[in-house]
Amino acid sequence: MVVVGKIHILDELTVEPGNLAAVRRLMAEGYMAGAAERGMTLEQTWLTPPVELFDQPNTLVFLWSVPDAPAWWAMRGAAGRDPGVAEFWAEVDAHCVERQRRFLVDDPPAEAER
Amino acid sequence: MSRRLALVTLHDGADSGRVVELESAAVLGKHLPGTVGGGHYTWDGWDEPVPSGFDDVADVDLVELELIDGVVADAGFAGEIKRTLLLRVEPDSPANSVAAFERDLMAMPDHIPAIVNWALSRVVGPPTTRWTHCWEQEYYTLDGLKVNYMMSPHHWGLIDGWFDPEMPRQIVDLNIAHVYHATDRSVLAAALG
Repeated sequence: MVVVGKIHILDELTVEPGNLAAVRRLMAEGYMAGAAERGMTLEQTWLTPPVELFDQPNTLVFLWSVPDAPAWWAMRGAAGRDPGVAEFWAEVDAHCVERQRRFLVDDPPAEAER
Repeated sequence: MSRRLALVTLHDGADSGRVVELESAAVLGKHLPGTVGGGHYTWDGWDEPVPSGFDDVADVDLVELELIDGVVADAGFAGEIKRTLLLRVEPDSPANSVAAFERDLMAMPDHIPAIVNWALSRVVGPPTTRWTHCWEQEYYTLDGLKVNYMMSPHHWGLIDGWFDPEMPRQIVDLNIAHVYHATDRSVLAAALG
């Protein structure tokens, strides 16, 4: 079976013009602490295009990680037990054109005997 | 053709002697530690779920299933684990998302060889049921479920997005019944045969 080590979690928030500050504030005040409690480590944050636009969306990108698949399930389970998490994303989505979350692993993945 | 399945829940503090009687009077799969949201037993359609007179039973969550698809790779399966997932797709979910969700579930056995026999069914009754789908599998070992199935990247990296409240494409209600029990025979071979 495939043995997965560190898993990266890539959040891409495509934000309505004029809403960047609001989304940054929501993420900082409403998500970061809970994410850390659920075992997520924030690796990097990006803005693209690399300057705030006033008539087109910008995308905020957050790269997180968890150590392995059991830690991924621990994160997922904690988020599922907390109704505030879904409510948080609904509030963020009200400021966004689109949002995606993707999971990434090293390529090629390692194979191991079980 | 449809078949029936039920999740059976005992009252808190059920009399242990009566529980032993129930377990000998009905063909019930006793849920193993780690099951979530589905009571104490799965009744897989043998005889009757609970013979009359068992007041220690608090709830029999009976569903009627209509098969979407399934495969019996080992008709002689003799154990050891039967797993049942009952779930509710939110009623306002787009039809193309529901179809994609069903396709993704049915692709899991292609990626997770530990799944021996499987069936995906729609819940078509009773009218009061909250469930919409039933996803069942049989495994040769408990590790097949708890390690090979649960830790597969196909599971957490793709399938779970339909269930995850952090994912924009979530369509499955958070309250699921994820239950499994030991068995010495194949429910699905009998059901799909």
